Amino acid sequence: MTIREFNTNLRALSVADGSWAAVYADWSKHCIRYGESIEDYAVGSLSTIQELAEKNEPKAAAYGLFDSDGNCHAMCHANVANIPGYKHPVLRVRHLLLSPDYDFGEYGAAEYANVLTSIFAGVVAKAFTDLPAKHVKFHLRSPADVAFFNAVAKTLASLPTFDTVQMKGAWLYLDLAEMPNSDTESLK
Amino acid sequence: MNQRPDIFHALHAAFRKAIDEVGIDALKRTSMFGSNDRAELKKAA
Repeated sequence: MTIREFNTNLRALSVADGSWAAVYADWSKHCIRYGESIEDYAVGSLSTIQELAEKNEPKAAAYGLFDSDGNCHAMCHANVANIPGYKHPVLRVRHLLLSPDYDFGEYGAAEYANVLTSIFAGVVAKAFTDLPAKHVKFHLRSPADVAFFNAVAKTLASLPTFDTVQMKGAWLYLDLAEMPNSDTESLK
Repeated sequence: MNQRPDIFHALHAAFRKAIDEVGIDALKRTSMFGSNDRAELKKAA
């Protein structure tokens, strides 16, 4: 089976331009296909991400991971801020959410690895482009998240991209080796 | 199609390794799946 290619540049989801409504309608169709309802799917995360999609903030966005056909496979909530205790800006990522197809459908490890990697890499790339930051923090919302990302952190820590990678409570901390500049060409 | 920079290749390899280590079942229990989100909220209620 051919593994799907995603656009590595995550797109901002906005109520104003209709992109949020289009994804919501598409994901609703996914749910119906499996006898489920979008109103019951990710009730905590979807409403929070939608609130951000309703705003137009320069340092925050609801991001979607899209394939070449315009289908959204995952989304998340991201914002960058200067936080006490940090010399450089911090990109905080919350509510990482996969589409209902990945939840109710049955895929192989390669598909899950591909979508997760793409949304994860895509949002880390925002620290190099739209939301410059030296630190990236992922919020984990359940004990299962912490167990999974504990394993991920150990593997990521070996990459030269990161200075340090560690778990602190319900957060995964990624410290980039260098503060990115605004040159986005290297990421295209 | 965009040319993926090194960070994407590196992250892809790292995640694939991690998923292979923990297994899909562990991944599917995370809150990244919306039905787990619903289950967590029910437990909290």
